[in-house]
Amino acid sequence: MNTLTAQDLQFIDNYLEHSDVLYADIRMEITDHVASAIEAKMQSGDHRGFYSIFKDFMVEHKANLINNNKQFIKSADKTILKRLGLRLIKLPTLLIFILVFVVSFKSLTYFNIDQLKPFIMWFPMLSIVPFCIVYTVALKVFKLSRFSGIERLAFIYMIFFQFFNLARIILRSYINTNEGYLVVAAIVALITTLSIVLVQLSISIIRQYKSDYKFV
Amino acid sequence: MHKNFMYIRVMANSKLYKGSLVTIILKLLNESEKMYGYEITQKVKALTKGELNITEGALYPALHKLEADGLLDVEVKKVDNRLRKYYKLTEKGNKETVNKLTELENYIKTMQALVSPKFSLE
Repeated sequence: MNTLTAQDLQFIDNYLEHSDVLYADIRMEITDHVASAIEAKMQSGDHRGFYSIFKDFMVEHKANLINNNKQFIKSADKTILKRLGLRLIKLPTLLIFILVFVVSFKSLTYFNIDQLKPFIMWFPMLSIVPFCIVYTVALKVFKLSRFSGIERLAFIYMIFFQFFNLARIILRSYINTNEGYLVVAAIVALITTLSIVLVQLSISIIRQYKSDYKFV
Repeated sequence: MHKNFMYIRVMANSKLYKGSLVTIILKLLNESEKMYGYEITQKVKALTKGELNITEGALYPALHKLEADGLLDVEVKKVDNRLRKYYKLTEKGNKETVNKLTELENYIKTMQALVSPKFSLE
């Protein structure tokens, strides 16, 4: 049985990375496909050597292989959104919302609104910033591989960021009126619940990748 | 998804095979415990004696969509110095396979009745 060496496999991986197949999970699958095809060629009696067989294979199949990239990202988004939706309709999520709502409402009526204002205004940013810091450090300092499912979480964070920003604008107009306490408490509860769900989802996806790709 | 079916390269009349890719994948996975991408392409090629040749551009997007829809589960294993992603049917995938195969059988029966009708004196 002809099997490719670690150097051959690294060569394929590098080639794909330079062809904009950036995510390690997608690249891993394409690398295996290309390697399997080359090994099958060698097995069938092609003695031209790895580089010649690889070159011919890529000339014929590169466009098809790279095309695979786009659908993978769409599927990753769909999976994340589906998991997010499932988490949102769970009973603990509703309980968190109710708890935060009650605590927020009580706090708003108990404390001086002027003392709380700066915290409430910056509250929406709290869910975004930790993820950005952790991800940047993981990529730049620890040089971890980029995985589609984890990186696509950023897309969800961006949607949430816009939503939270809108909430912040609404908060600003309600915060100075006594009648607005219910709305403010509801928005704070919503932002907190969504942030907690998002962090839970991120941890669950990262754990899944760590378990599925424990060899990387 | 229909756009991807265009990439199925077949020796025979390609139009007849379009739309069957998902059924083919589900059927193959139903017969094996788990399969990886290249293995699926080769199995299809062998079973159809080279008549049907599924390209990577059609296969992987279909596999990833089935995975996102919850019909397939994945398992990553280290094989020959590299990682290999195996696909297997979930419970939902098993049910969908039965539906898809029934749908295909009904389609074949209908086409057979149209193409070679059995005449009766009743």
